[in-house]
Amino acid sequence: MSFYLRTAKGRIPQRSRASMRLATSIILTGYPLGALIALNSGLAGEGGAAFALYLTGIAAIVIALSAFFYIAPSYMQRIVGEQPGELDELERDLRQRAYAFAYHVLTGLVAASIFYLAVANDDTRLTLWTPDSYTHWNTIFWGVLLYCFTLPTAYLAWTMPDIAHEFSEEEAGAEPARKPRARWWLWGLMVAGGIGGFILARLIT
Amino acid sequence: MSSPIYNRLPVLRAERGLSRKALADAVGVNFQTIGYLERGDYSPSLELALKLSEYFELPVEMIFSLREFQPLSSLAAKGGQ
Repeated sequence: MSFYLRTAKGRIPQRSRASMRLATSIILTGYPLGALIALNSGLAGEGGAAFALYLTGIAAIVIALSAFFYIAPSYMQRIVGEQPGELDELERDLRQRAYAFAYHVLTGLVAASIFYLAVANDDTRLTLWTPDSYTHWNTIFWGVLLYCFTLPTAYLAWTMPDIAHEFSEEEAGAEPARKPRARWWLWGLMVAGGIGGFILARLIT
Repeated sequence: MSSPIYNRLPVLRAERGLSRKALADAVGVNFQTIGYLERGDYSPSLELALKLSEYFELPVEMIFSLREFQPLSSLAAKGGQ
């Protein structure tokens, strides 16, 4: 699962490999770090120090999210997030490799997290932190989503050769060979689902 | 590990005064893919190789090779001897 922010005419803003590496690193480290600081700011007490810690955590999260919206319309994000029919053979090949890498990392993280939760819930002699409120689980949900969207792109940023400087300005600003088409049926399905869900909810309650 | 595939795409493109974008549009890929092909960072599928061969009106083995192509200057020198 990934996310790609397609621009109106399908033009892809240029992002250097160095900036993509930096942005993906900021996302992958900034969000968990910010979440940990914000959620645990209460440990610093009730005063201004706790509030300052909370704001620091929120700032780190905002920086991570801004970095995500920097990479969202990029060529690398297009490879992992665009509909497969819009990609050429090299891009589909790169997507497979990026997804395989992300799968290995995510399954490792999920296994480690479940092991941690099992230990934290089982052994009462240890006072390990576990998520126990809506805020905790909400933060984890958005973090997992952000990792799903960013890990494949991070793989590409660290493995693809940097050839952006070889292209002329005309080439770099060109629209993709396969121009994206609006999937009206998909939008129709989403709107119909929303209306159907709303009606169903009203009928049940 | 697969062996590298060498190609004459930059020479053929320069010969015909084509941009990467023009060649990419002609064979239905994105211009970045032509860039990766030219650098040898990517080996094309049989389909793409055949499309390029058809576009340049040359046999596939004149565009792609498992062995490094000799520079045209050295070929010309041999021909002159």
